[in-house]
Amino acid sequence: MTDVSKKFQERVQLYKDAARHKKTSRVLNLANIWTWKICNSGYKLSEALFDYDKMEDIVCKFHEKYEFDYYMDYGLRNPLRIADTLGFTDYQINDDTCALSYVTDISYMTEEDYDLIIENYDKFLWTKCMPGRYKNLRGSNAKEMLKKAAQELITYQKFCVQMNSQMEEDYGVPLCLFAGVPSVLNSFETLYLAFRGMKALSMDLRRIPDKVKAVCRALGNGRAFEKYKASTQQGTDMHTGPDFSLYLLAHVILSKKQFEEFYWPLLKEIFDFVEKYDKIVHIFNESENSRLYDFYKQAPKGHVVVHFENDDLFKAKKEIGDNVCLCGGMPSDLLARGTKDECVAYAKRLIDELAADGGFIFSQDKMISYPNDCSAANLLAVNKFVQEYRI
Amino acid sequence: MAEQNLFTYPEGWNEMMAALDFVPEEQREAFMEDFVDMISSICV
Repeated sequence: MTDVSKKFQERVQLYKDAARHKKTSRVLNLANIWTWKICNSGYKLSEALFDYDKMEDIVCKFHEKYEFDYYMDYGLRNPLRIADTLGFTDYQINDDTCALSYVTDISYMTEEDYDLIIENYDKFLWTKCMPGRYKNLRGSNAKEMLKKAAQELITYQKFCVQMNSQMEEDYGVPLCLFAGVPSVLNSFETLYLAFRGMKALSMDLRRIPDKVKAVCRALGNGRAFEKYKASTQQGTDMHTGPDFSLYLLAHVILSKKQFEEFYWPLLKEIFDFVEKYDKIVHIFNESENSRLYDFYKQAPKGHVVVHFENDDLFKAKKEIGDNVCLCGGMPSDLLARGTKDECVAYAKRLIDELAADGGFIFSQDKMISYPNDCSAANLLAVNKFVQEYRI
Repeated sequence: MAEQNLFTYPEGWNEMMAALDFVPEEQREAFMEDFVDMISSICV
């Protein structure tokens, strides 16, 4: 076995052991680093996001410098080339500040479209969502634009496969969590992120709750999850860390009571599935989530890894640490503005208090995206410590 | 003017699917479904 293969096996096993709440000799270090890796690469953001060769160079050099065990993203998060082909303009790139930003809210469906989604989802996507979202498709060359976008999708899919293979073969790093392992985007998230938007969906929850619930029931955890269920077998895949990933973003507009009503049935299906099929799911939870701990107490132990963004992980460990493997914890504020010693001391505290009995994966709390989200010197110091520190 | 009718279902959907001639025919239906699903919910 080569050194690269050994590293790969060790990383997969460390992830599985952490998820299963087994004590490990060291803690796994997951990079929650997104466009930040482009900021100091020597490439402009606008270049890197549209040139897969440059993105590959950025990702490889970033790994050679920081040597994380796992990555959320290999530069695959922002498939702008596909959207750009369709004339999508609801975003802005600022190369001076290395910032990618979006319009504040969207709404590509009307209240009446709830019924159509339930009746025929493809018909809704094709007749309502597409021309609403991509205004340039209302012109005379829609078919040619869509053909180009389909070819861009194929190119993007090839790049995803290539990056994941390269990171495994050259560096012994398993599939990344975004566009590596299968990702699940459930129906409530899709309504929030892609169709209805924050404002309109928030109002729908109060005015037409039965329609929202009916769409959530009809679309469930989405087509990707259905396809994954249909193609997978019993047991966790020993070639990856998690078997699949899930992103909780839309729950930020829900109270605990609303979460129970609208979201919990979808999450409960995931919990039941991973227990029945002996799988491991990695869940990224945006914002602060302590109001949801009663639901996480129902997670099947050994099957659920939860990456919290703003939660106090020491409190979370006490309340739900017996049920779920916690992930995250390293404050981006400290990485950005603290000293090296302060950062390393906090990393040590996280590992000592959260990983002593297993059930913890080290990572940054927030998605590190902008130049001021993190200091390179602090990140290097923390990574060196986490790689060398033995529990 | 025919292009204005592309976003009809199932006529326009099938017309678009037929235009994806660089995808093997036996995979075209599944590809079309994934493609439309992806670009409808793409989060850049």
